[in-house]
Amino acid sequence: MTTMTLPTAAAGAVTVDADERYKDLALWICENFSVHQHREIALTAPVFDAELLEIGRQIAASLAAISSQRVILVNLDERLDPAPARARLTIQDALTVLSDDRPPMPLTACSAFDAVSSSSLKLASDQLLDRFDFVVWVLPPLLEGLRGVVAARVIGHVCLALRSGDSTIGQLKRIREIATEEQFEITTSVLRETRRYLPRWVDRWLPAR
Amino acid sequence: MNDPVVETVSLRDLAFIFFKHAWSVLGIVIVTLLGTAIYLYGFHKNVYDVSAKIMVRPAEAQQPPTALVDSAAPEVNYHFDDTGPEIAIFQSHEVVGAVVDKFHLDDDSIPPPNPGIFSHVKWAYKVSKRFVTDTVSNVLIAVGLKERLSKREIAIDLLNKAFVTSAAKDTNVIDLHALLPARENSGAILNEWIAEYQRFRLEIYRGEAGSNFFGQQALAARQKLTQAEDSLRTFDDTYKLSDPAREEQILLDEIARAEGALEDTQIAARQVDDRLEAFQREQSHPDPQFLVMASPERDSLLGSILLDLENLERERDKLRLTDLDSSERMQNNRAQFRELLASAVAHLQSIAKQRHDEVADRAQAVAALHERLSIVHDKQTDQSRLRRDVSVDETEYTFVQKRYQEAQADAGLRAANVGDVVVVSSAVDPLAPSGTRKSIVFGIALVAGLLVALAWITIAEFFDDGVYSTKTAERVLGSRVLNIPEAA
Repeated sequence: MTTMTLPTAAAGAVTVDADERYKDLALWICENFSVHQHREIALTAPVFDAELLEIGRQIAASLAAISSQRVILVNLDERLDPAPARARLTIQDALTVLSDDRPPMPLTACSAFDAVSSSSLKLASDQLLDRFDFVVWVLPPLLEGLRGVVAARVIGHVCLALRSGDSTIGQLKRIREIATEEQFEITTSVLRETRRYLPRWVDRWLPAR
Repeated sequence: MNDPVVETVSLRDLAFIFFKHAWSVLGIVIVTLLGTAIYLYGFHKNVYDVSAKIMVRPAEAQQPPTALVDSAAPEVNYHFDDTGPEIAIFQSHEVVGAVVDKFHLDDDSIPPPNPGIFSHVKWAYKVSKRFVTDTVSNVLIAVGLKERLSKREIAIDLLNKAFVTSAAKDTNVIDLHALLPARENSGAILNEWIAEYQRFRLEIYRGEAGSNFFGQQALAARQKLTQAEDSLRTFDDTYKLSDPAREEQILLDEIARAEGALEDTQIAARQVDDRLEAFQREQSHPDPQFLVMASPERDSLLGSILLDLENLERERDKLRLTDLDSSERMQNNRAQFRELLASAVAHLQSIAKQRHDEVADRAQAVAALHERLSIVHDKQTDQSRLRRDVSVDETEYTFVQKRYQEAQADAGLRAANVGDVVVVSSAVDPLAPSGTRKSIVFGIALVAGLLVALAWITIAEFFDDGVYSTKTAERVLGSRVLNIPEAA
């Protein structure tokens, strides 16, 4: 378990217990994104997922841990931020905080609810990429409103967070259609809470796929 | 572009689906087995199949023709094929009713439980079940949806329903099966059933119904005749009436004599009364006359008094010639005459009373004789009635006995034309209940439960659109999907 400290808008510290289960995902991202020269990860879900921000934190923490690079987690879904509205840090506030003389921390997080339009999000993305090696975006759901779709189109590729049993094939088909229409790529997905229904002896006995 | 979802389903996928619904499958199977156990041990009644075999041997008139037997018997396969009426007789109300009555099958009381908790629980369950059944039945009867039947009718109906028969092909052998709820005595019940059937079929085929009828009638007539004879004998012994006519004649003679004596006594009493009246009339007369009171009786007390009165009257007649009526002698004569007359009157009164008493006694004796005669008449009437009863009963007995002998002779003649039934295999108590064994029932229930579970899986999977594996998500999305398993 890797423990990371994240500066928040109030300059406090957020402790993230890095989950080993996300290590493989971080490794895969490091290997494949370098090929495509992607430095942004847009994490989203088909519908509202209360754990999406935590997944983003885990991915950011794992990336920071295994690559020793500077990573920032930017939340664009206000429903996922429990902090009161006046305490939230905008992306400009974050950039201001980050422009201090202090050396940038390995992992930083902020909320950027104001950066929902195409232009502002593009500007923020460029500014963040100047200061960080990886930017982890947490987008609103793709099938609930247009904010998630707009953000996905600006970033150009998304990582879907699915939940075993809850996410449906119909939702995935619809997201694939939207991705084709809005011209963004579904680079990878994570399927969480998959249960091992098959007993191990059955798994060993059955032929592999 | 092909639909990425459509892909061959592998054995692993099927196993995955099965184990995904493993708890549902397990639940359905357990519920099925539990329900089966409750049914088998709580509601299912064991049925014991007791069987026997009988062979109907045709009579001479029912035998195959000699030509067929001799020449073409192996090919024709001639046999007695008339089991329908036999089975109908077997299931007749009289036969089944006799079996029910003999074994008291209409007694549906629940026996008390044996010692032990299990027996008491089972007994309590039976009592509760009986209460519920009776309550429901009474409600149905009360609302008019069901007709109330007696326990005997119900028992006969159940026994008839429990009977199953089958005739072996090309033989005269009939397999008889009775599906009874108890093991013990089930063989005895079927054997008794067969015995009743044999007896009853003989009655039908041989016409023994008529013979039995006249036999019973003859027996009843004989009993009636015996009772009448006993009554007559008891009557004769009680009243000693050997010859009522002679006794009546004797009584009539006695009555005639008594009535004659009574009449004589009455005449004598009237004579005394007449004389007493004459004496009293003369006594009241101022100059009584002797001749009026004269009587031929001379030797009795009254005769001597009358003689004295006669002498006094003669003397008075002589005195009239010499003396005046007022003379002393004349007066003395009259005074003596009156005293003697008073004595005569008193004597006559005594005699009259004696006569009247005698008349009353004789009248009473005559009445007693008449009463005796009446009693004799009544006894004679009763004896005549009893003798008439004996005579009538004797005639009836003779008639019925003759008809009974004729019916017996007729039944004997018919017996030659009736086939016989032989018990090939008697019924014995079965060792185990019939029907499917419990283990097989449980096996069937297990298979049924699995099939239901399979149907449940099919339906649930048909409506389940969820994504459970990375492979499915990759097929739909066309990109890499990483697995994040549940936290340990």
